[in-house]
Amino acid sequence: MVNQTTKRNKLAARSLVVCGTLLAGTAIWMSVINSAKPATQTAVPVSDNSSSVNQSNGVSNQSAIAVQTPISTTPILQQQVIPRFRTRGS
Amino acid sequence: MKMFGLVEITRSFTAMNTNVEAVVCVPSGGEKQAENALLLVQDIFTSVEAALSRFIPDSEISRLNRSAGQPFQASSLLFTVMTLAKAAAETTGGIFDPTILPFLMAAGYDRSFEQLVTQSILPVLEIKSRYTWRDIILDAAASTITIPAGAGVDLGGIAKGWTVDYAGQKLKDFSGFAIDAGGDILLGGKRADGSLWPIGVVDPFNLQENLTVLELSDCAICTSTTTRRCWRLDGFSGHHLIDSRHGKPADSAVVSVTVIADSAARAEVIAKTALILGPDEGMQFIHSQTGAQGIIVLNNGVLLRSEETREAGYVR
Repeated sequence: MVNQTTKRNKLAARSLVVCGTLLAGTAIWMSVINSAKPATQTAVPVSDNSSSVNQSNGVSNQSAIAVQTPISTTPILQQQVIPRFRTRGS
Repeated sequence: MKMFGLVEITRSFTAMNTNVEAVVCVPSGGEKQAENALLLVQDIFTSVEAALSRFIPDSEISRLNRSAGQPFQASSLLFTVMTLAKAAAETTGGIFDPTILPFLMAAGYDRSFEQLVTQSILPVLEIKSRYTWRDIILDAAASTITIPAGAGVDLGGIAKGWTVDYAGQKLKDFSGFAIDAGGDILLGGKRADGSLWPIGVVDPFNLQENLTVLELSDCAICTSTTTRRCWRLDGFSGHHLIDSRHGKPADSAVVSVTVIADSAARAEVIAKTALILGPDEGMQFIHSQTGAQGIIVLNNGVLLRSEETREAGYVR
């Protein structure tokens, strides 16, 4: 009985170790996967770095009065607002 | 839309070669009053177009251009808009100049844009205009306008802006109203649900997208861009924004300028001037104009914007 109990205890301990290892592995994989995902739910702050402007376009640092943003980035609205009108330009 | 007992009544129509939409907010039951006001707006657009379109041979401005060299008896409408145009030319140091018509025609914009894109067009002409806005003589007492022989005037953009402003005055007693004439937009009060008017500023590189959405009231917003009303002729890319300093389409690094100001005519002139001046001078010019704010898009995709336009809208 003692031997059988000891065997069962050893088996249970091994199972716990295996389960623990599996859980830890899963947790690591989840963290890796999550870190690889883009933060789509987070609003990206607008860069105000005026010194990054291409000088070949005639824009000097005097334009610091304005905020300069590369518009090639994916638009992320802080809040979805459907425009009633649009400035189409003429 | 119906909230707080108010409804928005809309009227859409075509005038000045563009789509016009006008909206007023009225209490429920005031629909007839709203419809009458919106009909008046349409009448205003129709009558101003008939008088001030250079593409209508019998319009008053066409007759003025044919009368170059002698005093022309002008209606109060033509005299008012010409006075406004001359004042705008002075404000912009001549960058905005209504006497650019010969250059505009030389660049290929010699007929309404719909015809321009479907018909063959004239070769580019070399024109050395000797005249500027300073040569327009306005005689208020006699209500006459004199332009020099050989000169021609075009009031296109400023006339549309003035029309939006004038029509807006007819709607000012409504708690909220808006007029959108091809993207020249005037906004008064609030929407029927009490919110501000959300205005999308179009991305010039992707016309289906907005650069930003601004929530505005009691102001006008207009955009000038080289990506609309442009054409190609003998390998030459033309557009309608003429730089009066050399008489050819502007070739600055700016693709579009959106300006917010107290009137559509001002916003239109400031936007056009800033585009021609280029990024640095353009933004400085915008900020030199009382109450004006702007968004400038460069041809490399860089965006310059007044700080206030960030505060007014949902931005990237």
